[in-house]
Amino acid sequence: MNGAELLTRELEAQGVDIVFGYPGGAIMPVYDALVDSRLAHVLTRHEQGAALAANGYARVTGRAGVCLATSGPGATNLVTGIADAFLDSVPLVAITGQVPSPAMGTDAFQEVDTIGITMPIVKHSWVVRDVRDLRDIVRRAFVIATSGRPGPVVIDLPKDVAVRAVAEFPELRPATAREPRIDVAPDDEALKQAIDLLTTANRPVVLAGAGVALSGCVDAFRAFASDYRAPVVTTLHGVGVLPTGDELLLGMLGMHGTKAANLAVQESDLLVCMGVRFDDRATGRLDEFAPDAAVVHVDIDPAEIGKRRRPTVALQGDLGAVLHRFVAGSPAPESWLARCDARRREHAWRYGAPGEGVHAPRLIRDLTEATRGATIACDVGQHQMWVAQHGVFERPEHHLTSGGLGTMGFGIPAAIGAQFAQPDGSVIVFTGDGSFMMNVQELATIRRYDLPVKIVLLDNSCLGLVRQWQECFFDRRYSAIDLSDNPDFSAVAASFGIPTLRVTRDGEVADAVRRIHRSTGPLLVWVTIDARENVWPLVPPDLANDRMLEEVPKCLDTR
Amino acid sequence: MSRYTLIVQLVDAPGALVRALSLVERRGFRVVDARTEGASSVTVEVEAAGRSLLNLKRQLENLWDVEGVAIGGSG
Repeated sequence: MNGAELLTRELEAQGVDIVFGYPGGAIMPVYDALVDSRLAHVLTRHEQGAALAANGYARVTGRAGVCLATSGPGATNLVTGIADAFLDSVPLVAITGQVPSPAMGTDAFQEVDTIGITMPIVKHSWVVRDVRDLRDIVRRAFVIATSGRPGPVVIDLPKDVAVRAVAEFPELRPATAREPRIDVAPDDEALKQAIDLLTTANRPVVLAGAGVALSGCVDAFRAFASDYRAPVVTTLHGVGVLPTGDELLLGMLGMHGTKAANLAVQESDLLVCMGVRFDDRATGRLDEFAPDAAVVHVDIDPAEIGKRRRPTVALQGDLGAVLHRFVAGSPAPESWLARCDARRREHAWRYGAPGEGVHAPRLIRDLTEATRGATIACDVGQHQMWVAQHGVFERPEHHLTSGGLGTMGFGIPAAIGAQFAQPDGSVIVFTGDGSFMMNVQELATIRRYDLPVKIVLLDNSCLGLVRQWQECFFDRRYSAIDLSDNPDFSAVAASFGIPTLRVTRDGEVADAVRRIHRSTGPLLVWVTIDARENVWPLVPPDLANDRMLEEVPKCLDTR
Repeated sequence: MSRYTLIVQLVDAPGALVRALSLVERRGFRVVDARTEGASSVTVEVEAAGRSLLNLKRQLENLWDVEGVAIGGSG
């Protein structure tokens, strides 16, 4: 046995059944070991595709996704996927080949300092200097990636270590890092203070973020919400914590949040924040965010407590333990919920659009309604916000979106990972013409593995969100947003062996939804939308969340 | 601009010191001085304006190579 074979054995021992990757010189011993291993390998067409597919796989399963790449450009091509996992707290184990140990530090062919490059965007990383450390490192990698607040780790494996012979069961070396801190229970006194606040608040709002799903607490959260009966708002990653249409749900808050959600938060006297990090896109101008609210902040990560908003009561620990205790609290005042509900009805989405063109928000609503329970992956841009606003979701795990990093090109590879995670599940990607082209090569992966992924390409022949900002905040000085020279997307898809359904008029949407629902293989649905369509509401940068725009301002230059 | 002292206890592992110091800079603090005591401790003087030292301490404590962080005097 050599180091590479030991690595694949240890991956198997960790319960890994699939890895996403792309071979190259320094990782070749590992690819050789894969031949005899039980691990399934998915060959993407770019290392970024591998990292994002592993990312999508992890988001759906809650288990660590694994990606492989060679040294140098292979490793640097993983970086965006690793950073995406870091900012969205996704468990990811990235394994990179490295030049042989004696060549490290000599600017050898395809040598980069992978550990140095990725240091700011990982929970931890290792160069395997001695093959006897390998088992211990792999074991720790999975524990660290999945424990507490999940995140990515990197294992950099020099080629000489990968080919070094090892005994069948090499002696475990002493630990090279401290034992991980495992989830802790929140402080009893703080819990009591929090329950007091919940009981006495007149205008409480519950703000749910990614942590609800990451902690596996969706059902417990729903039980708490049902008992407490306060209005619930979500971050982008909290979409789905309550099913779309739930009577308590006011929608997403923040820059493209609903009016009902943003106004409720701004008026609240208590904000019960669960698994959120007060991201700037969610809070708007921070010093005017929920100005009258006491804040109860529950989070597993102590570094998030007070990072952006100082809490009145901090509960650092496992959300499940907190929710279990919160259930004993009294319900919120009915009059407050009624007021928020009235506002929700008043500002409900309206789907009447003039003309014959396709109204993207309605298409998204109709398709996600018809395919309830499907996993919806998004790219980044206007369509991403429309999906968060108008998509119909039963669970947060059904909504795969690059929230923290905002990675254009995320959607298709993430959907590939999601489809491997649930081979019999329905997976749909919403993408734009900008994002689609960023990882278009992964259509080959979809075809190769015959994945029944449906890709809904909302094509406005421009970078829509950038265009919208230039229209709203840069005096309509349009710069580098024109994509009118896009290729013929149906020809592109055909060249990968994927059929296209073309939708150009509103009257074609209903039939398209039916055909997508019935289709059993991969399908590109190429939808032409109006380039002038904008995402509303919009909170301008550095303004409070109650300063929402609902049309292009006449004079607002925030440069 | 305020100046603070942090005493960071490290695991004796490759890269531990670099991880700790680069995190300090990345989170908006300027490392003014750093003195190691063996491989397992570093005393760091930092400067920052409008940044939470307590938050930096927690972020350092999240590193897997950091065993503990104590906050010294400020100036």
